[in-house]
Amino acid sequence: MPKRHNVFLDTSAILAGLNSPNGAAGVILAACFTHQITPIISPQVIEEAERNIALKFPRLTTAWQSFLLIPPKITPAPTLKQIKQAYKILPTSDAPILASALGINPDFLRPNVVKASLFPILLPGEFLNSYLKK
Amino acid sequence: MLDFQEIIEYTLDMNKTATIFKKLTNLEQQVQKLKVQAYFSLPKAQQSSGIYAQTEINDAVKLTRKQIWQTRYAKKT
Repeated sequence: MPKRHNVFLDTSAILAGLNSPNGAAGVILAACFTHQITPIISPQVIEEAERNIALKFPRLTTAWQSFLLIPPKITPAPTLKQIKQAYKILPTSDAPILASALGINPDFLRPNVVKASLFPILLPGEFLNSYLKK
Repeated sequence: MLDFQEIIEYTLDMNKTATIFKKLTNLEQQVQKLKVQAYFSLPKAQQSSGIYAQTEINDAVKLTRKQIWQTRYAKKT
């Protein structure tokens, strides 16, 4: 049985997948539904997704609820110390997301944020072509 | 209180319902597997068509993240 990858998904990747099920991000979510991939998210990813779906993208509500029912693994909220460490690597507002990912050390991170960490950080298409293609 | 006959009937109903939901879950998983296969088989032009524009999603997420950063972490880091 092939190894199931632990993939940290960023908010933009999740919303892109819910928005376009046949695109690369959508196929990653499909692989999550079939348990080929274990999705990992952070509490801030949930907050960002819920705020935006409620205010701007209401037609993604049902798909988002289905995603939560997979269910994805949810990391603990990062501590301030972890965020400060992540901020040294990535001095932007993405630091809390990176801090959450660093805290659990996934096989992959799928945000559009950084290029410097201990695990590969890939765009959805790159991930699919490199690791999911049979 | 349910009598013995009612408990039997209720259990049978629930078993039937559970069987249907298991089948539905299985079918859903098969559909999702096909979607992964289709991604690699379909021409790229047919793959991406979303409800909302991708740039709109990216901009919205970026803005929310900045707002969370400003209100929660900016002064502490």
